[in-house]
Amino acid sequence: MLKKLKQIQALNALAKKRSVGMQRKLMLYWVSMILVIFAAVIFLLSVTGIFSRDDKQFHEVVEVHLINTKDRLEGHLENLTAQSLNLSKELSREIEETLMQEGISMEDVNDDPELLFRIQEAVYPFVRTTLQTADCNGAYAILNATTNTNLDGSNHSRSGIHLRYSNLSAGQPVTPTVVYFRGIPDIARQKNIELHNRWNLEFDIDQIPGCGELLKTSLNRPAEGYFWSTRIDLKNTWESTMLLCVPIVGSDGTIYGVCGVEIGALYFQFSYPNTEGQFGSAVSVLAPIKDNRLLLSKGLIGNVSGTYLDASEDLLIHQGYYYNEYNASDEQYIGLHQIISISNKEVNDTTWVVAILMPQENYIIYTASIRQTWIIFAMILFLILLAFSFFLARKFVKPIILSLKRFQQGEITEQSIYSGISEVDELAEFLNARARNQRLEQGELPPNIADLFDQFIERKNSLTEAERNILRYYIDGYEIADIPELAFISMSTVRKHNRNIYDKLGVTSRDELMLYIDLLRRCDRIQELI
Amino acid sequence: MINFLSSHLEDCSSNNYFCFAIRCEVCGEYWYSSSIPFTKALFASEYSSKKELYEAIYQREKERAKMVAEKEAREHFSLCPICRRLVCDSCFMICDEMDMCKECAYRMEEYGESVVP
Repeated sequence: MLKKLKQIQALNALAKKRSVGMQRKLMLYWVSMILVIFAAVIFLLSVTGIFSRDDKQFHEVVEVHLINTKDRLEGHLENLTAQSLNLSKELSREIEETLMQEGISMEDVNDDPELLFRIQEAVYPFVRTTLQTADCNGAYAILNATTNTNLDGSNHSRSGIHLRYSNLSAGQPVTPTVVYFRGIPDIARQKNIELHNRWNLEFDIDQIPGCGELLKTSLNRPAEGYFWSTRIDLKNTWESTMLLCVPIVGSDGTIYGVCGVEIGALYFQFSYPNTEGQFGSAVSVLAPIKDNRLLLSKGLIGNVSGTYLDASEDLLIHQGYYYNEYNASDEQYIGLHQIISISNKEVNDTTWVVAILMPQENYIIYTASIRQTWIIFAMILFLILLAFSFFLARKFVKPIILSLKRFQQGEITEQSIYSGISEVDELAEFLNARARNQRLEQGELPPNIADLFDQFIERKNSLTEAERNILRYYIDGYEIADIPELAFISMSTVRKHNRNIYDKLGVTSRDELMLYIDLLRRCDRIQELI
Repeated sequence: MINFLSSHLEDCSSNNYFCFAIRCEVCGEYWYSSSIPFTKALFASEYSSKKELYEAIYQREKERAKMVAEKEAREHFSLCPICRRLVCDSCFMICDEMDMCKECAYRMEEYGESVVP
């Protein structure tokens, strides 16, 4: 590890030694700055909750849905409980009257089919009325007695009536068909009710968890011991259901039996349809929870269309910040759940919850499209910023590079070295001045002086031969007073020549003319003047 | 040039003033030098007994006046390089190839401008 770190440091040092172009380096700085800004923007967006907005929105939607479903379910179950408690009271009174008329106790009803018939006949109207008035798909009354105690299984076989609807459908049935699921068939014939194709004479109370224990207890009021059973499979049918078990309590505290209503799995599906939303199909669930598992196999599930939710599976719960994950064997669901109290005395301390579940796949698809939009937007923004940084770097560096190139090629003028950046211009000016001084030290003329000389020599061609003759005297070092003597001309002629020479050579005095001559002589260019 | 001018100077001096003249050989006009008074002219009677001395001073001042006249004439006269005549500035032409008197210039069809218009 340390060795690798040293290698990286060595590489970094090598990279620092390498000369990098100004534009590339500037571009690198720009890109670094853009990345920092980009990171800051992403950080701000994440802090402000832009990225978790979908999760939050999902939480809000599901929470509202959950609260509504819970309210509705609580109201539904409370109504059923109230009607079942009322049924219990009615049945208690009827049974007690019959027993009093006969002068027997409930235990004496065992093995007396005729008495059982009479009690069931008395019970039937109340069960029927409850079925028709309650929001359920079945009502029943179990008597704590059996027709034949000598039969095998008589200890868990109890007489009673169970009426159910047989023609359940998604729509409200116009004329619901009541079938006779349990009970003495004579009553069905008497009341002209069709027997269920899986009819049985008596209930098997072992099929109903907690029912046997309830029959053995002693209570003052039915409200003290009612409960909802977990979902059970109805014997010899494909149907499953949850039963509300309310004890039928006599005035002396004797439990005459159990009565109540049922909510079948199919009925629950029809009553609680799924809801299609932006995040997918939401399913309502009423199920017990145990060891961080949602026991769908023991609860009821609303309509599952649009999902692959299997009612026989148990889901492992992973608590989340915005929503929980519910993992099945091959599917994953997300949603929320809340504890709901549906029984007065829960069997095995069962905790019931209402849950709203949605397939996680749908949510991922939904958020993926939004995430994709974000990524595309970020990439476009990043590319725009890159192009902008490239443009700025180039614009900044271009005049500098141009100045340097001109400097290298020796095209140095005051205008050409102007880059618009004071430090660079000052450097270029400094180098320019130094180069100029070096040339002067080597005897080279400054460019402007050389130009002046060139122009002066060029103007010399405009002189006449006579004027050139006079000029030659000056070049030879003679004074103006010497020229009349030398040239055999008058001083006035000399002065006139002088005026012409000055005009043509662009000088204003003899001193200036003599300066030119002196400088040209120094530069070894005097021959060009002659 | 001075020697050449000296030979062309004509003495126009009197007992009291020194003056010299040069005649332009083209136009014939005379040019006169500035008059310079003889310093002892008013004292001639005092030198009646010293006539030789008076004469010597006169000659010396005359020579000086002649030299001044020569210098003065140098301002106004040029030598034509073609005809070798002494000409005044009015008759001396400044031409492109060479300066010359206006007669020579006319003869050789050289165009120019006179020194003094």
